[in-house]
Amino acid sequence: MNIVSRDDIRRAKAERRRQLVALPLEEKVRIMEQLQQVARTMIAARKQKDKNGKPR
Amino acid sequence: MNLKKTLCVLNDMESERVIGKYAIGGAVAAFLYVEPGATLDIDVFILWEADASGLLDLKPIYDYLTRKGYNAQREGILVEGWAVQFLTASTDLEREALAQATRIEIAGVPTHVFTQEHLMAICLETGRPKDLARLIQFIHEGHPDEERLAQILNRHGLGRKWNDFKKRFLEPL
Repeated sequence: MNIVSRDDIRRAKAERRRQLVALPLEEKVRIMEQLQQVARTMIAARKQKDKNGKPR
Repeated sequence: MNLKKTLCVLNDMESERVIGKYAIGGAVAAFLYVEPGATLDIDVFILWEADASGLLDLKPIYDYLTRKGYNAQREGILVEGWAVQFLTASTDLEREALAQATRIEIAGVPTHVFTQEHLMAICLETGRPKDLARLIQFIHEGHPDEERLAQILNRHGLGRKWNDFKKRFLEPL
């Protein structure tokens, strides 16, 4: 089993963030559109949950 | 949803003189400079005259878009899957941001977007927790032009607020 330290995880996240920041505009827009779809799905699910009267 | 199509509609509105020059601000503009994130709305800044009573009547814009088959929803209007919010550039800072917006192309479609330094100044001026969080993100990820930012902050009387912000959020506890 690989042992991954918190520093390794932090470094990997920082590197991924750097890559995301540097993406071309079209790629960023594509990501925004995908995230928007996820957000809409979650909002719809929450509304449905509220409608059903289930506890939050 | 398709931002490219939304931008084409906005460009049509501009060329048909329904609106004047527009520029994208808010989260969508920010995400073009820093790590992209989730947002449901696109903030479109325009110049729009108040009517005689001082109220801003965006009816011509809504009428135009409704005729094109787009539906109003809450405070915006859904255009090709994006909830477009038309905001009048109401402060000197926002008017300058609109005038000096950068021309870019997204998937071959030209548009204007606020500069990063103007977005930062607007975040500072607005000052809600989420704006300050975004400001920190700009500083860490966006590599802003510090001289240009300082000029904007000074021009709009935000120097002291900037110093307070730096002291509070950028210095170690």
